[in-house]
Amino acid sequence: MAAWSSSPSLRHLLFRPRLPLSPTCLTGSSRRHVHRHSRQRLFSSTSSSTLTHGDAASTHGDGDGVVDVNPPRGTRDFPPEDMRLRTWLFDQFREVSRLMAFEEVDFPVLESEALFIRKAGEEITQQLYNFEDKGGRRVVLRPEITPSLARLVIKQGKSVSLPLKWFTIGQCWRYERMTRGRRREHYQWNMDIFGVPKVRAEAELLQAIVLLFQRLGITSLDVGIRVSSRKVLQAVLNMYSIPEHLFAQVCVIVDKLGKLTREEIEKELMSTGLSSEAVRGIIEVLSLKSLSKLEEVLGSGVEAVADLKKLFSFAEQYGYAEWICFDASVVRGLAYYTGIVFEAFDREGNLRAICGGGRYDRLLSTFGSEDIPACGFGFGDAVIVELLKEKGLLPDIPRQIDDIVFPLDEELEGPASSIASSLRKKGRAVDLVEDKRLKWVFKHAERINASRLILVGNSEWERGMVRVKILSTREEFEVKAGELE
Amino acid sequence: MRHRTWLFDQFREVSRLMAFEEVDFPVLESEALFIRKAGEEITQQVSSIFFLYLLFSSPSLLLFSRKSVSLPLKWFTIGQCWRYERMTRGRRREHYQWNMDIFGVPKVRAEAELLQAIVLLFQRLGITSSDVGIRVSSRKLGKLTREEIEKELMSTGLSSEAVRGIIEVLSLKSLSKLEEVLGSGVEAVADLKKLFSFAEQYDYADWICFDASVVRGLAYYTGIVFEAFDREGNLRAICGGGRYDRLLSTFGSEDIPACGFGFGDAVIVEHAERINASRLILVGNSEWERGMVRVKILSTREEFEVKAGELE
Repeated sequence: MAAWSSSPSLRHLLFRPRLPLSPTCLTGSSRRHVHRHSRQRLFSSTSSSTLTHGDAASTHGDGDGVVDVNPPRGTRDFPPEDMRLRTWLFDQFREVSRLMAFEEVDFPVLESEALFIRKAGEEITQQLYNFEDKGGRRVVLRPEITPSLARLVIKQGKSVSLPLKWFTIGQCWRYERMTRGRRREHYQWNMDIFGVPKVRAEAELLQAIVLLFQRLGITSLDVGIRVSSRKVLQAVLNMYSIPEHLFAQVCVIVDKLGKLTREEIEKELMSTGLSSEAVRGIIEVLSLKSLSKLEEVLGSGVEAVADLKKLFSFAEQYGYAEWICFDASVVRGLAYYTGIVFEAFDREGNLRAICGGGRYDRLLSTFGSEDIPACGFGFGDAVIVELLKEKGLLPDIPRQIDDIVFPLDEELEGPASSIASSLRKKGRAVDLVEDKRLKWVFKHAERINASRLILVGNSEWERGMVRVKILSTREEFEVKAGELE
Repeated sequence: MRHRTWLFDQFREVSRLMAFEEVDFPVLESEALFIRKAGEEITQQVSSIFFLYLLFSSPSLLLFSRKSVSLPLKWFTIGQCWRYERMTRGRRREHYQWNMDIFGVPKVRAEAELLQAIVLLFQRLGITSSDVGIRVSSRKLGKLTREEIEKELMSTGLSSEAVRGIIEVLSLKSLSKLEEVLGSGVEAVADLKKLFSFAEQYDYADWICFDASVVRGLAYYTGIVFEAFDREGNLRAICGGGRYDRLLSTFGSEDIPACGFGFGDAVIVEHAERINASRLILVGNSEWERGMVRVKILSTREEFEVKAGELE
């Protein structure tokens, strides 16, 4: 659980305020702190976190009193080129969601901190971007989306018509010491299915992931999806009569297998009270990479095995069997998974998990509601872009405009207006350019990939005409202004 | 969500037709950006601040080396904005806002383009100039109070009675009267006349009107200001904006001429719901390209296409 001393001071950070819709609607509430921006080093002095050395890069040395032009530490701006790429990626997410017949939803990025208090030692709950608002309420910039989703499902009440298949693309935040140059925010595409207790749901989610990869030009040779089930661990714990309440903690510890040494994992497991026998049993099972071996160890009556066999059978039917593989070491780091879990990985082993998810049939009861079977995944916007870069699959997305309208004389600005206006009403994207030299206009046309250049010149206009130039073919001809389409 | 997506798609489509580029920035910003003077919290911030912020921070735009910044810049964004207020009046603490801003165009052309964007958006929603209007004025008129106008008029020799009569009848809604009072040499008048002339050319003159009472609540507007309003007088402004040529210098940089507007997602929806209560006006791309919209009468379920301009 995040200790108060590690939460960021609100003083330096603020949500962008809103445009008042009437002059009187916002009051200047009294501020306890006074900031003089010209000499303020952002995020440093009075903040309780020690962001000093690494901060040097964030403030500009030149210009005394120039505001810090960088976005807050760990966050990104999206200038036009980056925005085009992001839009392209999100469009892929949306299209796959549409093909899978999911509905889009959204929730506030600001949530009550209580939604994320889970005492299982997860990394995610130890890095909350939390603070106290002016009303003294503990709030947080959400670190993940699933709890908000659960909250919305509960809100719908008994009348909700299951199954629900919802997706969202939202920003998630964490607060972490910036020593490793890590990001504090990312966007995440989430798909979740509520009300389907069978493995069919996981099979559908995996299809969505595979479809997404395929749309991006990624193949099963580039990427794989490791699959296992929390029920495997559960079965092992049962074998050694380990109490139920330790389950979540054990999962979180085991998830660190890739990051800590085996000795460290064993030590952590023992410190929860497990016998060395149980610890050994766990580690052994976790190294299994064959379903048949698992069946040998656990027995075929075990749910874990039945679920996984069903999933692999579905995979054959859906046609994505070569993408997935069983790997008992996959548990995922979230406390609330209860069944099948999965994560996509880069076969070259360079990158972190591309996406991950699983079944979480007992989350809603932790919020005081009746349980509904649920499963879903989160797919971040950062690793996938790194992967695409590595594979040379990052698309080049140039700007695109239909027409540039350019008056050759100042007195023709009026006619240029009416031409641009009527073209826009007809659905054409028009850039009205003025006060530039023709040479610049041609360069500009190339830069923004315009299809046509429409020149409004005196001699043509006197005859009610304009000059149209088709930029791809370099054809040029005159057109009656009224007949321009 | 479907409604929100539909509305945002309209924002995006209009931005595309106007040849603007989309940008985005973190919802979380340094507080220093909004506090300029000791003790004074600038809570009334146009989110155009963010554009400036982005302008500074984009790696391809060096800190105001004018050679490397290719002006004009025409950027739009749709982002969520927040405020903290005691919840006594059930008011919202967040809303989404569509912003369009133009940097590097000192002429009234920029305001004319922005107004076209707003009118296009309304038309796409099936709203007409009889539902909504856009009041326009200029900060260059100064804080022209009634008293000041009265004083001016009196100095021309009119009796105080006549002066009061003029002001009452006209309520400072006549540009030509203003020109009479102030003279056409005055920049504010010249700007406004230019804008109205553009409005004729762009064909949205019936949407806009001069109204000296428009000032907008933001301190740094320097020229033309405008706001769209419901003609039935019910709601708060639907959107608003103006010119702000001297904002960057308050951030310690060189000024660049700029103007823009913010258009929230709440008032427009209330408005559209009200006027669409009896009919549903759907605007799809294929109809729009033919200058038509689809109207559905909810009581009879009749459906037909109508020319967008002839909608009533």
